[in-house]
Amino acid sequence: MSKETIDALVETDGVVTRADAIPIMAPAGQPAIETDQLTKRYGPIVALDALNLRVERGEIFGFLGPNGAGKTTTMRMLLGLIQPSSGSARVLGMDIAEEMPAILARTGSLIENPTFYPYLSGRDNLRAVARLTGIPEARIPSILDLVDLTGAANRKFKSYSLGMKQRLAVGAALLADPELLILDEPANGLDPAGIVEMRDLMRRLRGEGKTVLISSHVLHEIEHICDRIVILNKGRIVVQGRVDELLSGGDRLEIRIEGAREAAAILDTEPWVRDIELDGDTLVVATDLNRAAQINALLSSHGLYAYGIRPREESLEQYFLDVTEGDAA
Amino acid sequence: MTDYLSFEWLKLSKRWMPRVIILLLLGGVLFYFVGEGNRVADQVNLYFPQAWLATLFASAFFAAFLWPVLGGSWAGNEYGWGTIRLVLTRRPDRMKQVLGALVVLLAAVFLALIAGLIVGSVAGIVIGLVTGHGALASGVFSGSFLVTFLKGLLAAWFVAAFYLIVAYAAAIVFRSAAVGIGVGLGSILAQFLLFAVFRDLGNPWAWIAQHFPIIYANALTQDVVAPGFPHGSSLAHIQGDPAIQTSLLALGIFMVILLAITFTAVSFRDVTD
Repeated sequence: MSKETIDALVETDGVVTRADAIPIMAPAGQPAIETDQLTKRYGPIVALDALNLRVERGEIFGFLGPNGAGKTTTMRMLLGLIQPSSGSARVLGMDIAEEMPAILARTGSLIENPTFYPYLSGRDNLRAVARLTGIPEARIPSILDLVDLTGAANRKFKSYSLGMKQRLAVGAALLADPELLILDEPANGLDPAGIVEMRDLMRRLRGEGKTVLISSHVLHEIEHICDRIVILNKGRIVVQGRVDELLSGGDRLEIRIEGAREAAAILDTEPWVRDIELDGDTLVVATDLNRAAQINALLSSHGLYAYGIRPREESLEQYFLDVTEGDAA
Repeated sequence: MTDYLSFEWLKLSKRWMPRVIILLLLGGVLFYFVGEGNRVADQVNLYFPQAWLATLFASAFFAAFLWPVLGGSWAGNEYGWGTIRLVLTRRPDRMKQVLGALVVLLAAVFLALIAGLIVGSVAGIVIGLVTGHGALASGVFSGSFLVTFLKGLLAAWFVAAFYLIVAYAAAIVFRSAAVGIGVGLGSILAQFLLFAVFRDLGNPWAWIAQHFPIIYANALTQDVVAPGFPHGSSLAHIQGDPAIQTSLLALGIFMVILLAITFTAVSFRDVTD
């Protein structure tokens, strides 16, 4: 993203928006994506098993799962590349079986690898997409600027690095100024700076009222940008919900203290402590979170002074591995 | 439909491969003129404007080896590069996508024939001047000659379209440029070989061999342009079997079958590449 573009962004309450943009409220009513028992079979193999998914308008929705979980299959069905074996889906309020042209006119997408014509330059690839979709080519310079490819616009696509290819694909997805973005692994191949830029871009798009369905193996990024996530495994939903709620870890306090074993013995006698885990100098105590001050006072009265007490939060990575039983992401 | 055509034309105009194929065609036409021009008896076929007809005759011959490469790579590379996803996630009308590509490719074939005619014209004039015949054959530009020329142009284009569509259809069905080109070129070679074998086996094999597509493709352009050559010259001979109408019908049926297979394949199959 160019410096000028970054300068045009402002951050309010963690949401980055263009300084000159008027935020669009997410329209009420139908969700951006809604699937009903969506299923895909390849012979005896069930790639996707009765998926019921609901993505609200204006949110960034994370789509997670190990390889072969059914993420790309779902995205392909939502974009008309493959036909469902059974079930149905509506995108932007329209049935994928009946109104795919209208859906695609309002949807930007990147499925798997960035695919473009290798003999065309980045600019000409965008021109090709613009011609195909009837979009004015006048939009291309601003898109190239947005994805920081203006300097490489005239180079052949085949000479691009993976990160550049990925940025061009995101640019192509944004060319039609879509309401909905379906992005399969958009951070693939990006360097750390590129990942941060991608994160800012996603937040900006949300600030503009757009909906983003994003799959990624970079779980740290998903954790930071997504409002809600769904985790698939072997074609079925394992869990879905708000990221902060899923990662809250329930009512558990993490206590860092010297003499953790003695502290555990003291706390174990209290009836409001449901469970205690001991890990070196750290205790994880299952109890009401508002007991923190009481615990601190109790341990202090026994000459044990905690140097850290906070609610236990899991990382998305750990949570993912727990719910997918360690299947590789 | 104009969006698809504009899209395909941009791709065509920026890609080197079609230009290389057209250059090969032009080289083939020149090669043909040089070869035939060295035989005194055949020089009469090459003087301008009969050079146009000779060019069409040569172009139809080279079509079998050139246009399958364009058709196969054009369709197959969409799957090899994965760009079929880029296209179909923007515009999902698969029939129009195939139609747009074919229309632009066939336009390219037509332009290549026109380029060949220009090269053939120059070659014919040069041969006329070098042999002392003069730049222009006299008394040839009659209405019937122009009709023969236009029929020949369409026949050469039709034959080229057939070869192109064979490879295009194979590339779509097998989702591979290599297979498309291989089937396009290989089927021609196989027909030549099988024709020789079947002919020697007698009926019914010989009868079957007479209905191979290449038999119709080879006969069509030659028989259409033959009346435009000087009486008694080597290219003025009309085979007559199969008849022009029969060749047109047969090649038309083959193309309809190939297009039906292509449209069925693109319409009902999942895009997983």
